[in-house]
Amino acid sequence: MESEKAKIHPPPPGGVDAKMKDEKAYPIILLTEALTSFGAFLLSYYNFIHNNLYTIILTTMEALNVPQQICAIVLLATLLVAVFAMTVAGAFLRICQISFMLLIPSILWFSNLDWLQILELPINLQLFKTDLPFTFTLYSGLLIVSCETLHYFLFQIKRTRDELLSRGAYKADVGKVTMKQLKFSSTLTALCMLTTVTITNIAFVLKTTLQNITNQIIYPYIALGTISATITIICILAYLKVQARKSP
Amino acid sequence: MLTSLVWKLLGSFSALFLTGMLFGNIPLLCSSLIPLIALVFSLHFEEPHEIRVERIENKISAWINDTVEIKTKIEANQGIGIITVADTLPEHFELKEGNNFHVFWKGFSKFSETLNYKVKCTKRGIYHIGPVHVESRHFSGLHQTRINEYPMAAELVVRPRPLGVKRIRDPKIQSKVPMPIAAVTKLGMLTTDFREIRHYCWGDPYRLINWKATARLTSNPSSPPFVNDFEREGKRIVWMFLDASPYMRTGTTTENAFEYAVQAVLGLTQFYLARNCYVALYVYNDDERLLLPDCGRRQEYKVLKEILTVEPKTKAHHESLEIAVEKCQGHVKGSNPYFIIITMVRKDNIQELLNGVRRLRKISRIARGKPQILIIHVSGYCIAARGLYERAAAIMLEIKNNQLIRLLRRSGAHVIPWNPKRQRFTHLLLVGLTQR
Repeated sequence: MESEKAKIHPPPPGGVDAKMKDEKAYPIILLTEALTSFGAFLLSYYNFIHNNLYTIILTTMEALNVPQQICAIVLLATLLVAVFAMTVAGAFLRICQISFMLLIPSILWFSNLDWLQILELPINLQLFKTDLPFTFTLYSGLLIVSCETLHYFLFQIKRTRDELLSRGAYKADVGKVTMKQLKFSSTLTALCMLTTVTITNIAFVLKTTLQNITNQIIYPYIALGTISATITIICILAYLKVQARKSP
Repeated sequence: MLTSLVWKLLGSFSALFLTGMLFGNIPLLCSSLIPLIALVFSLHFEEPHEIRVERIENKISAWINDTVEIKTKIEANQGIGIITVADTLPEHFELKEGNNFHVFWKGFSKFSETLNYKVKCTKRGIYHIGPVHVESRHFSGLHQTRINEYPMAAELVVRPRPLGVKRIRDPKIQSKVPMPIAAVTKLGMLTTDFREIRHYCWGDPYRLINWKATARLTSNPSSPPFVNDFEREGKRIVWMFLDASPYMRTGTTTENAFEYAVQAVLGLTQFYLARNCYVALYVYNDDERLLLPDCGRRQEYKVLKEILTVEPKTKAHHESLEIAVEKCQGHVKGSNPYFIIITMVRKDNIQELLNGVRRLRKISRIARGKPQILIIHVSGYCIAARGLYERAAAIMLEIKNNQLIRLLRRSGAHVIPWNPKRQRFTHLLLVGLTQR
């Protein structure tokens, strides 16, 4: 009859129901992820169908004796199935990335440097011509990247939540923390979006003001771009160094 | 320290920014600002710091199986993020209510919370609760988690409940066992502590005759009257030998033969000390733990303090009862004390016990009087047994032990087998009582 170890820390008998009940935070996170990713997908799909690339795909398929309507339906169905599969798998970030890929042709149409034309390749960025205005494409891009950033925060929240629960924290406590973290992260993302929009608008105002000066520089885009990129990278590195030194 | 997650946001920014620069694309350049601004804003909000932890009570005393509430106050002044507080509990403690691990959110305002939970103290001993581990996490995991350890250990003394030992006040019964009452010296002044009602003996003062009891209890007119007997100021010595061998661990960590033996020691100590006896304790097989004979509350406290930290050994320690007696004989010689040995009689230790009893008889022979040795055999098998079959097996093992017990009885010791699961200690000491 060997000595057996007594059980340590069993679940509290009285307060189990009160403390262990599932919290609302997790479904809210999932709902936020699903809604934002699906919204991003619809927005990017709308941009895509107004792009010349979409018309080219349909024309090519028509040449292969596939009617345009069927081709459009099949394409949409395929994308929706992919989105649904990713939603079920919980890969919401992937949906955002697919959405951004659908938006890329429309964004590239507004490029100032057409390297494909410069390199004298048979195709160029004219291929990605879009019917939508510049502002719409710009804000679509900003929204999708914001969604991606929000998803990054949500992923962190879910990871922290799972870790805390696995370490034995009460679901009610974790639920409260998750809700507050979710509110804070969503507010921060909205703030980022707002700041970016403000900076973008200020940049457009400055662009018209500084046009006279930039016109005097030879290859203004390359010169200013290189300078601003270098400054940005140096500033970021310096900032990160300061932050790293600040934390213990 | 920044985590590798920083590079994830920085990677998104770089990819968009460099592509935007390459193509001179304004939407891409503008989009690249979002992860960058998110990174800057996130890093601006540091994880909670300037945390203060305070224990509400630093020293708690409880009985075994009592539930104790532990409170800890946590305050944080700076930062935003998650605070986790974990109190380290000692082994054998059962969490009854609340949780010793809590999670809090520290917002913009000052944070102050009290963490409280209840634990059941399942084993005797002196424990230290703590240190308190506090983690402060960055809300998005961009900063490394700060892990602080606050050495605010609260001392928790868990005392074993002594088993109640009562006197027998029936004048018609007489103990064959060397009972503590009989152990009190016959000399000495009478105290005011009532002991029993007994028949009148030659030499008893007349003022002690209890006429009412005589009238009520005497049926035969020629029988002697009854007298009130009171405790005398006696200073008899009781030596207790507690076995701390590995086999005393039989049972679970919280309920084993040794735990019951400890409770018996405490009960007997209280009983004898209350009757002005000198009590000495020797824990053999445990690095010579010896408490010399002493009386009063101080001795009771000393025994309790000593017993709190005693644990049965995990490896066999070659200190038999005989060696233990040899070590104590300097203090024993010249007196005729009671010897109480609390052990678990087994085939392995029977020879040691027989040698020990022989040795006790030898050193007691020097003094006048018959040596009085009591062996309490704690039935470990019955404690460990779970279920019908195991209980049956335990009984069979105990039956097998009977011949060993007979050997000990033949050697001059009085042996009481004790099954704590079925017998109360008070009832146990009534074993061997006969009608007068």
